[in-house]
Amino acid sequence: MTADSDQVPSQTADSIDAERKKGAAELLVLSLLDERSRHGYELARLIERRSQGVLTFHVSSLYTLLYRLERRKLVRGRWVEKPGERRRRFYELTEGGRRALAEEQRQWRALVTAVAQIAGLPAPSDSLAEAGHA
Amino acid sequence: MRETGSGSSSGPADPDQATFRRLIRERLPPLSIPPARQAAVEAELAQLLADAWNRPTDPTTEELEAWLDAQVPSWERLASDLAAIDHPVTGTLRRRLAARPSAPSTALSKGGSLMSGLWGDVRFALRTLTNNPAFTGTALVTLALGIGLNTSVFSLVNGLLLRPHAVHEPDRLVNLYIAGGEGFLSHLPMAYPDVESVRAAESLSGVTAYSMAPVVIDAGESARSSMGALVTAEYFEVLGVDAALGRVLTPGDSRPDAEAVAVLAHDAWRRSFGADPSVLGRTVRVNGEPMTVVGVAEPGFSGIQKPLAPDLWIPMTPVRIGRIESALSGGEPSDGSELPEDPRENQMLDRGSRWVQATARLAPDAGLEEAATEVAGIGERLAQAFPDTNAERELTVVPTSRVRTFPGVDRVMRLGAGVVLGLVGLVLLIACTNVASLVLARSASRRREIATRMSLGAGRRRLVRQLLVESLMLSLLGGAGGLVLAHLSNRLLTSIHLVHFPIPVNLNLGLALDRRVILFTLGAAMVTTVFFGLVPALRAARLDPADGLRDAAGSRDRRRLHRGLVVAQLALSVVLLIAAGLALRSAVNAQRVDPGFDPEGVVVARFSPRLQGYDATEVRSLNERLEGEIRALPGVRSASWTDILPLTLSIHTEAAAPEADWGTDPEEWPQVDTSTVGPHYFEAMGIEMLGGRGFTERDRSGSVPVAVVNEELARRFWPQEPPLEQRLRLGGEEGEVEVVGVVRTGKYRTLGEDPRPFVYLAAGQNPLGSPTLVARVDGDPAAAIEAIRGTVRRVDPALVMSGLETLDQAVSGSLLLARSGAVLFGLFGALGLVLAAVGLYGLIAFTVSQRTHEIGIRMAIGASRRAVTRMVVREGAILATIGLALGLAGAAAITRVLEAVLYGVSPTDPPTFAAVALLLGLVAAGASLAPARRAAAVDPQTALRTE
Repeated sequence: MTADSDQVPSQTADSIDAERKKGAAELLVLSLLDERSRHGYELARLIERRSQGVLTFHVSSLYTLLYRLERRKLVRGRWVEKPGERRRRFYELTEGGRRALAEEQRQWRALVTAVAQIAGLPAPSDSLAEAGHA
Repeated sequence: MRETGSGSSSGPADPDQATFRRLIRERLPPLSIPPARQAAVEAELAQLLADAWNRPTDPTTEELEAWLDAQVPSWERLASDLAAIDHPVTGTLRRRLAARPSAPSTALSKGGSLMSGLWGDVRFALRTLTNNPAFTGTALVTLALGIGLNTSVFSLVNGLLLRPHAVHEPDRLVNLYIAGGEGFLSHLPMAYPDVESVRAAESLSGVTAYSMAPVVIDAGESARSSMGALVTAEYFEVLGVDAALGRVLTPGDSRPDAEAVAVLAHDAWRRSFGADPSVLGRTVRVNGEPMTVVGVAEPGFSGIQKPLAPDLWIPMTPVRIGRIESALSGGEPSDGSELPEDPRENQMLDRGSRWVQATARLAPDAGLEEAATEVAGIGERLAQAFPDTNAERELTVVPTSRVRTFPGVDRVMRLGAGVVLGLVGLVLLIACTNVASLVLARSASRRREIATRMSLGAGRRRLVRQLLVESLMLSLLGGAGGLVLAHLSNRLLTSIHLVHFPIPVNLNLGLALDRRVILFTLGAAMVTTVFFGLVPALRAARLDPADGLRDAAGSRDRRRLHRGLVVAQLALSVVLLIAAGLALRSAVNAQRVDPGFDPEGVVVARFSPRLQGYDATEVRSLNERLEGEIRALPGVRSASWTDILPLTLSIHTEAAAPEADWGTDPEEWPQVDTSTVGPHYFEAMGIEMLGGRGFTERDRSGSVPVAVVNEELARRFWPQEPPLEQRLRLGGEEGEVEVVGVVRTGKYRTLGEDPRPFVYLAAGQNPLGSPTLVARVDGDPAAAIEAIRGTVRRVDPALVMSGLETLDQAVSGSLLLARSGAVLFGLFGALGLVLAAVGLYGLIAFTVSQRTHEIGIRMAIGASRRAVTRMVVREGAILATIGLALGLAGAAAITRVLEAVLYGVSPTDPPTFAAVALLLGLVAAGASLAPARRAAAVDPQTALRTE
């Protein structure tokens, strides 16, 4: 995984370790695309907003992530032009992507539950993606 | 909402995305993916950046760049991450490289790993080369011609002399010879009984004897004459050659009661039998004898006597040998019902007759020394046992891998190969000199670039490497071009028949671009690189950066070197041109020489009825019928027979003496050339009768034996008396003939020969071994050829006819040397001249460009354009004069070696030397005039401002 070790200096980068963020990035993007197809910048904005600024991506790592997901055929990108808007590349989940998302969610849930029990944190009620909505 | 293809943008122009695309293109290194994909990546990134950019419009450049840096902290890192996704392995490498501190990945940088640096150099070199199409094109054509010529000649040498025999463990084979004298005859063929005696040697595990022979192969539908090999039955076993199909010969095949069998050569099987596997078991008639095809030899095997390639191998028997012997000589063959016991009639019993080739395989534990000693010992014992034949005879062995045809012949071929390789090497040298000049001139004009790079910190070694890589790219591309040229010329050489042999001969020149040839070409390219690349590269790197940046006047040194190169080039091409001129004059002379007969309008056809199994009586009646029918054809003025055509490399000689010398030993009589010809031969050939008569139908067995002699023989034998009605003897007492006619002396063996005595005998009184028909025709010979073909087919459909052609074609071989010499040298000379002209032009043009400033000053202080032109032309003239002088001196020293192949022209022929001098002068003037005019057009003001 090569998402984000050259993180821009920012307060969020200080508060969340880069490696930890990197591990979550793929799950985040796949989860967001499970709802509907989105363009790249929309994904970045959604992650930033829903994490209340805790998680940010700069273009370089976001693009690398999308590029990799597309090359691995987990997402499919296509150029879409809407009236009055600029031409954008929209990404949607493929069948493979849906399967990968389910697997990632299973692993994360197991991990988070286990970590929470041991570390004495309150157990999360649902998947991480939903936690982001709060 | 509508989708669009990734490539087309039909929406309103978006300045943001366009701006970002430009910024990306400037920053993102190439990803090693197809250009279309790289473009897609750029578009996608640009769109992302444009979306992310939510600042006010019209940012300052600094603002934009600062933001961009935040979004993409490292473009190298981004590129390597993306590349790692596409190419997991190389991508990792790139990531490591990208992670290095500050490596602006250009070819100019000092650091970088070896591989990445080289790759960069290669790419940079290719870019530089494509940016200078004129320079690159000239250099490539020059190198391709130079290397191609060398590769082509080398592949011939390789095929004839270097490529190993296609046998099992060729290093364990030795050839057996009778030791001879010097030169050509240093090693003589063996007598068959001696080969049998050598079989006793313990250091040899097997011995085989073989001999090439003309054969007529009749496979049913069509018969043709060709070349076969008579071999002892252990031939394939000794050589370690297998069958591709069926079997090879085995010892059982040589038993007297064995079925007659033949093994086909792979080539002949493909050529004549369409590679049909059902050929096994088929019966073909070989020299009239039915034989069963039992196998096809391994592909690639064509015997071990290059360049002769037999079509088939048949077991050697006394009867088969006798039949071929008598067919060639015209004598009566034995009928084959019993083996001749008399050694004089059985070559396989005759120790006196040395005719057979022999090869042996060393025993597993034996070495060459051991075998040589043992064979020599056997030779000594034979000398004692058979003093009549073997007293003076010494047996010797030579490793088979060192022999191609015959040790003596090989030596001559090697010498010839060395001379020709040297000549073409000279052309390559000129080509290299030329390219070196070009590179030098260019590296001079690149001094600014090189100096800039050096002042930016590029190391000298790095620069030399860069320049060498450029040279290497050039010579490798040139070498590739050369290989293509060589391939084409090989195809051409294989397809044309260079020489007309009296019997059809398969030549396997072995022209193939095998590993050795490819290596040679590669080597030539490497050497070439060093020759034309290293010196300029080292010189360029020796440059003082400060000096280069100031663009001071070119260094004196460089100009001296450059001038030296041009002079050398001119001198070399003078040598080649003179060789070309001499060869050309020689060819013209050869063409003009009077052969003593009139080849115009004569058609010839060769037959081998005796090889086909016809007996002497049958041959005689067949000849009479054919002659009659052909003479009756419309347009045929006269027709006759001969056994030997002049100037076709076939010779028959007899010891001859006039009556006055009959008392002396016939061994002391002079050898004279003879041939047996029919009535009307002299009319058909257009040979002038000086006195007496030609042969008639009345000159037949029973009548007085008669002869027609040429003027030269008459002059030598009877200097004081009229030759008519004189008697002379040929070979001994039995061959007494009376002279009934005298003809004008012609050329018999070669066009260059001195007058040679010649005796014609009457076909009615002597057997005609391999008859050749000669017919003088009116009008188009092509029509006559077709008519004759039809007649022969009607008279005897089974009769094999070879070489139905015009007499001109039949004797063209005699002109071959002169003609091919003229073509070859002409080609080399023309190539050399073009190269030298380009070189001279390049030098003068370069000098002018270097001296623009100086010329400007001269003109500013009053020099006229004329004076400037004169000054520039003078430089060219001085170089041309020096080159010419050196070249003429060199040519005078070197052309002596050509003496043997020149006809009627001296190796220091003044007109040739003068013509070449004039030609070179004109070319040199032309090559300097163009740059001189450019110099005269220099605008003093502009020129002075460049300082």
